[in-house]
Amino acid sequence: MTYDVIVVGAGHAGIEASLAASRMGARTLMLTLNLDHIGQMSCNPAIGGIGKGHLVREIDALGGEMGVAIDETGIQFRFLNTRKGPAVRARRAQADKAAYRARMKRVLESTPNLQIRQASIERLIVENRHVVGVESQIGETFMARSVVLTTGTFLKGLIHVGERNYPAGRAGDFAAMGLSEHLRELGFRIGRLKTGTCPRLDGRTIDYSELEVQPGDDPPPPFSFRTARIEQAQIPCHLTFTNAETHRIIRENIGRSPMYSGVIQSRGPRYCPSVEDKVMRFAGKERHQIFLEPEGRDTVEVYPNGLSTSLPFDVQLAMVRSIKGLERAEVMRPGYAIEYDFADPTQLNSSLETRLVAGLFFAGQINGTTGYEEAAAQGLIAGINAALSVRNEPALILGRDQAYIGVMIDDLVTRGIGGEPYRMFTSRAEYRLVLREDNADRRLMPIGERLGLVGAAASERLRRKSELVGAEIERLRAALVANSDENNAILRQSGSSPISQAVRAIELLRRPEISYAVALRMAGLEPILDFDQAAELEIEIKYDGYVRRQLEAVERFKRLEDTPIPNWVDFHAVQGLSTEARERLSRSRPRSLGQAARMPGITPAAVSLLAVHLKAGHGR
Amino acid sequence: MYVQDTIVAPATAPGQGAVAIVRLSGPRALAILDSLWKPLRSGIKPEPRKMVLGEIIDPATGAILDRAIAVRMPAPRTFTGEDVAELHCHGGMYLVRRILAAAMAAGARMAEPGEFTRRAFLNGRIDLTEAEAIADLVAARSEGALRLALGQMAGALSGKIAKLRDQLVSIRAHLEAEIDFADEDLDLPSRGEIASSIGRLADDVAILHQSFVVGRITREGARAVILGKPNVGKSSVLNLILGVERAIVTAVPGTTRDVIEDSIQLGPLQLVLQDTAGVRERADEVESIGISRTFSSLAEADLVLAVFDSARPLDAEDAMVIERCRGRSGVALLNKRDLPPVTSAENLRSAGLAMPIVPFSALRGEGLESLRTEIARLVEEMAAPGLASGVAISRERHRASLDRALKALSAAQESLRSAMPPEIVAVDVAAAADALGEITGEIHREDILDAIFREFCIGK
Repeated sequence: MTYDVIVVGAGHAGIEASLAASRMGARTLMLTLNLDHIGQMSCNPAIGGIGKGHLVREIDALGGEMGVAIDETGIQFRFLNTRKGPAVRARRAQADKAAYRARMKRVLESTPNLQIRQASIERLIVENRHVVGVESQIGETFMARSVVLTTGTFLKGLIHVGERNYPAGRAGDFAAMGLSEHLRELGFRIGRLKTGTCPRLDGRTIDYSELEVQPGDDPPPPFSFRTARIEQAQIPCHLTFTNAETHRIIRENIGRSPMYSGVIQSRGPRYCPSVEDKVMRFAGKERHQIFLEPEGRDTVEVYPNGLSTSLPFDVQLAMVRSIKGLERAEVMRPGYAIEYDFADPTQLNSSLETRLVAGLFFAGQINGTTGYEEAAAQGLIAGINAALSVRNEPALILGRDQAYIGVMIDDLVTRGIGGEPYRMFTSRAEYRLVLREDNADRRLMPIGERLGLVGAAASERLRRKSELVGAEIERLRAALVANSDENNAILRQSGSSPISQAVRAIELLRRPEISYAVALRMAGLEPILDFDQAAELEIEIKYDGYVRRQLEAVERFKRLEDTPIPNWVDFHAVQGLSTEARERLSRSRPRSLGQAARMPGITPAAVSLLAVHLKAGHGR
Repeated sequence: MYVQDTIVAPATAPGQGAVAIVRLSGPRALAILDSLWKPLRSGIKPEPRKMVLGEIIDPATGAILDRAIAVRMPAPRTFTGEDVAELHCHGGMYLVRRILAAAMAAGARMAEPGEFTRRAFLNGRIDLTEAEAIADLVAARSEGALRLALGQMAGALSGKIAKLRDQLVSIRAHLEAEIDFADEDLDLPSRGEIASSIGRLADDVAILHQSFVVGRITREGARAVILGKPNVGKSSVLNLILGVERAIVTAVPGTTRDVIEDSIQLGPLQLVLQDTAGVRERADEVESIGISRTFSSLAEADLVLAVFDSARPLDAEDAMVIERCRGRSGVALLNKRDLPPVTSAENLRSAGLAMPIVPFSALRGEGLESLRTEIARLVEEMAAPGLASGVAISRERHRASLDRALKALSAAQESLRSAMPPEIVAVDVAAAADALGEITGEIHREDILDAIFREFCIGK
């Protein structure tokens, strides 16, 4: 039979791609190297964080699975950046890896239109530059109208521990050796990246008694707009530090690190360096923090976040045992570095479809990104667009003004990854004040609903939220805060100046240092908004002028963004363009003037020439 | 497929000269050169960027037009970024016209004014400030302007902006690190420290912003306005300084009803002198229009030359002139010292005049040297910072961008003072970066991440 969509890979990208496509009614086949490792977290046991938490909320608003799954199985939930403004607050949760995997496998197995098979895919079947199926290591063929590749670190994966190395997709899994060579034959530009992970410790051998405890928030904040409350008990993390002895061990053995001996040439992410990198590059820093994160409820394994390393095992052990609380720790799995192939994402359209082969989509680490959340977000979009392309419907392309997902995909396909694995940061989004965790539902749920991925109940909740926030603003406008000693004491405590006469609660809320909760307390009112609703209200009242300015900037951005570059445009025919600009534009075929302007090597002058060319309608 | 065409133009000034240069640029520049010109020693392949002697042959007739040197400069490392060819022939308008005609017959098009520079800009060989500098260089009216233009062309302004940009990237990196790496153990600067680095940056931007005046003076010359009550001899002073009969001089008060303007070279700078209608209390209709023009040119002037009559006592009209000189830079002339003195420098001082005073006689030409020295000193004082550093903005476009940058920076400082969160402060800092970017080029988000990773140990 011929499937509508085949998804190769069952990691975080593969899961969202398979679920989105099958939920949209496409007959979908998911192929994975190992059915027992669906939804595996190969690195740290956590989801979310600043920028990444934003992605999870957006995935959720579009009807994706990641948010619900972590809410159901997580072991600790926290808000980050609570002392900053509401625009950059983000959620982070510790995961139970095994429970998360089981939860994901259960959902996949119970989703209609979706089949799951274990197979190692070595080749694509391509006819007339259109993908028609895939072929496995043992010669099976699976036919489909579109294919999504989500291969993670498996393409020619090579694991390094000290002087030793061996091929693997991650520790304990085979690598996919043939596929990237095949992609090269098809004409794709393939590059190589490196990342690393920490050794895992036996929690029974850790002495927590002297270590700082990192508890979760109470109440635990859920990721999903669909989760009312997190019911399960939370487990704390602990904090310890490297010290002079740890650093001495690392420095004395640095020659045995494959990164420093020159065995590994490819670049790793600067924001996720190995501990040896931190010690060597920031020699002045006396200690580095290590978060001890449990890997689940039913396991003793502990992830020492901050201790990523590819030093030889004997050095890893000595290094671990030099750290406070870990003096008697046993290492259950060694840390390692892994090199893998990726395909330069500037070969993709904004829909994540490759320009070389129609019907072929790439999502996740194959595009040079890092992170479960980045992968899941791309998987979701690739799955949606694979299903849409089967129906001959226009692709879903989220703008930089609409979603972090839009920012990420636009960065990838327009500018590429710039040499290191790409991770989401809020600083990558130019319209950060309007792209928030609290309003992801407002921004994206209507799209999810239109695609059939979000139910009517969710959009009803969204409508009620708007009403509630509106009503609360009215209440704050009416409420008076009395000029009392008690209130002035609260103001002073918040670092705010006292009042000399009664004022409206809304006026006090305009002060950056006064929160919703504090303003209500002074007015003698009970809070009725939850955290996200309060964030929306505070943004609206405190930073109104800034939000308005950013919305105006969005309008300016849209003018260029909404000027499409039609298919008839021959960039070689644009008068005045440099040869380099012509070649770059012809290769990447930006879909709008705005996207062209963001391409590396395209000057504002070149954009003006292009605009003139479009206006004149040359070559039509 | 449409291809960028090949342009040709004489690169030397029109007229008789020892040598004339004809320049070609575009994809067919080298082919057209080959069709017009053959090396003297046949069979040799002329090397790029070497001057080779040969003959110019009219392809239509086969006639030898001239013996000339040719230089072949293949793309991309040329002025325009395209293939460029130059013919150095003997000077002479007729010969140059024949060569241009032959080049055009071979497929070249006559270049529009500034087209070579425009192509250089479009091909990314020069940035906008450098392109403007080339235009200024061509139009430079004085040595000072020349020096400023040369400085800008060499990238002095770009360099200065790049320095400001680096400061800005570092400030943004600190703000962004505080947001994006909140759970890292980073040694971040305090809000106060960020505020003071924004303050330092704003000071630097303000200095560049102020250099607009200097930039304009060096580019267009200093504007001096001659001010005084009727019939103190303003026009005579103008004529004397210019050394020509520029203004009509009569003994009738109020002869100059409009503003008369002319310029002279003064040291390294151009001085634009404006003679004005006299300042008087009661004037007829025409005269009062003239007087209001006097005041508006006074407002735009860099210098005031206030003229007083030493043979008459100071009156209400002189007092008006003194009032207008308050806080202005300039020189006072105590004219008509050929007549018996009535008013002295001390009288002017006690009437409130702060400017240097030069005794003068327009009739006899006395005091002219002191006046020139004094003006030169004042102009150079004004232009000194720009001339010394070689960096001054001279374009309205630059001033407007710096203006926006300054406003954004002060808004950012205000946000810091009122305890706004970092992402709000970052909005204004980003706006300042965009404004600076308008002058030379953008700041990409990658620059900020680079700065964060360079400075901080990220990755817990």
